[in-house]
Amino acid sequence: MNLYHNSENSNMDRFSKSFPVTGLIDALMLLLAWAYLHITHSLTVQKDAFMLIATIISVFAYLCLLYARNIWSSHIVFTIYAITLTLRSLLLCLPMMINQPINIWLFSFFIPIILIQLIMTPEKTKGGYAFIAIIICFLIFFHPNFLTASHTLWKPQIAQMIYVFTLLTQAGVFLGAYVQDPNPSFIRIPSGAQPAVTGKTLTSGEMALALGLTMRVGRMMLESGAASFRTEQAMQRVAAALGVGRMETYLTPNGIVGSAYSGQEHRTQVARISRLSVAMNRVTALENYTHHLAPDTHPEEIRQFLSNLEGEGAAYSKMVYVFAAGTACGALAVVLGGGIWEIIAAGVGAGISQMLRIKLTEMRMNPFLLTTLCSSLATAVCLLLVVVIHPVHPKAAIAASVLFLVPGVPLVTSIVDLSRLDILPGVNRGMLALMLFIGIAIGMLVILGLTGYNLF
Amino acid sequence: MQITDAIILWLVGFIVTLGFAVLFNVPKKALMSVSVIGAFGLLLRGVMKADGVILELATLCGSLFIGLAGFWQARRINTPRLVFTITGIIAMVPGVPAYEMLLYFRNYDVLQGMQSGFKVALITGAIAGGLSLARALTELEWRTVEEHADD
Repeated sequence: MNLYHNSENSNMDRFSKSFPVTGLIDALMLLLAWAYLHITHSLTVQKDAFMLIATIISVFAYLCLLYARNIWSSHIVFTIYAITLTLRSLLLCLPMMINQPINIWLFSFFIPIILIQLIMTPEKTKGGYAFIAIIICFLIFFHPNFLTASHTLWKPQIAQMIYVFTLLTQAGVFLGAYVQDPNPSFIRIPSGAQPAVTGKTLTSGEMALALGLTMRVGRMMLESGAASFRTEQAMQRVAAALGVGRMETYLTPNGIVGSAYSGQEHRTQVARISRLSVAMNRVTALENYTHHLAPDTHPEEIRQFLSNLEGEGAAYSKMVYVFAAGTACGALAVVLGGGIWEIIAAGVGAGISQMLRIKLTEMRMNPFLLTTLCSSLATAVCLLLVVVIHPVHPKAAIAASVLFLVPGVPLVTSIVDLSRLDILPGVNRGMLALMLFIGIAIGMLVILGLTGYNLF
Repeated sequence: MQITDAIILWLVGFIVTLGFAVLFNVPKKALMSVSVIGAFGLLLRGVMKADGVILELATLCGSLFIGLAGFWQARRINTPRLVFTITGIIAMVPGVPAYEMLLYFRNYDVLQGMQSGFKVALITGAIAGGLSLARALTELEWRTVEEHADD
């Protein structure tokens, strides 16, 4: 069962409806870009010609399809439109492919643009279009001029201008579809059980059971590192499936307050969260399960599922985690300027420290203390290896060896929460990340202070 | 940037993302696509940075790419998007400046420490901005703030 499935026919109908506006904006934007560059004499003759052809193709395709959309089937119209867009992108890339340098800006942005177009494209035409897009990406990426581009022919500001126009064009395509149709096909509509409309009211006991299960789902998701809004949505889905009329939740990373309302009754529970980890497999399982919950699911069924999930062990064996931490930190040492010996020093330090981290996590140690201890061990092992093998850039190795402890998930989730106006969870997670960073720094400072090694 | 540098950067991005994906317990079926997406995101950022684009804008574009590609893969493999986005951007997270800030403060080098701190804030903001932009482009519910039911 596909979670994000949209009906193919309605997709095409929507496209047919929204096409006049999107196509017009698309063509006009390109025309505007060409006119600007032509009037200001910013292009060489050859590039001017390429851009003009691209513009003409866009306008022509728009006019043709405007006429033909009532005669041909929507599939054909869409395919032609997609091919036109591709052809246009190709034409704008062509100056580079015939061995002329060009500013890299433009091409860096073609990849996201192609992806946007890919997402918009309905399933049936996606294969062919994706193939063309991948070939274009391939040609751009492996072209000898790609990485040694000079700014001689396209002045940087002109390339920026074209980029802005191209991006605006794509925004116009989006906007056009959005103006015409509030639910365009490329935007995913939230799925899952909707709040109960059966009018059934739960008894006090049933509500306590339903609320307890809902809180348990929320707790498990937050413990696995899910963002607040995602947890809230999952809890709403579970509550709806259990027949709760209305569910209000207030989430912080270390506690949930939830109230269930049904008829005249209401109940409130508070759940405390103490464990903090990142377990994507658990989030995935819970998300998929709650998306597919049928209305009026029996509570026992959900309880059984949650118990099974809690009983499941880690996704990988311990040695895999150790190896993963080692290789990741080794690779990061390369970014910081290290060579093979730095990779080995950082990797071994991180790997041994990860072993300690697994042990301490099993003992349920306080996360700040755990981070400090692991950071100390990683630094110590790495420093020992650095002293023994004398690599060229010892600082790169030491700096990389503790990077597997960096709380990247709380750091980014914090900003995501803040941008959703979930201020309290956002600030909470931000402070958590800061505390963990302080833990890493203290762990390093202890070892560096004891040995007298100066990192700077 | 030479082609060999680009290949090395891609490999680094791939290995780092793969390693952290394992540490984050990403399901096996999503491991490969997560790593490839993360690698291309890091490569995009590196290439733009090498061409003289400021780091924050390059990071924004990299994470926008990861957000969009993650959306596509999430639909394909039928997995929540956060598996791809949060794991994909991990190679771009400014880990070294973050604890460097505290080490500088310890050495009473406040100016350097503040510089590192602002670097962390800006880059993290750029990452989250790119992911949010990708979401706003592709999901209806992210365009507006949810209306809270009141009675």
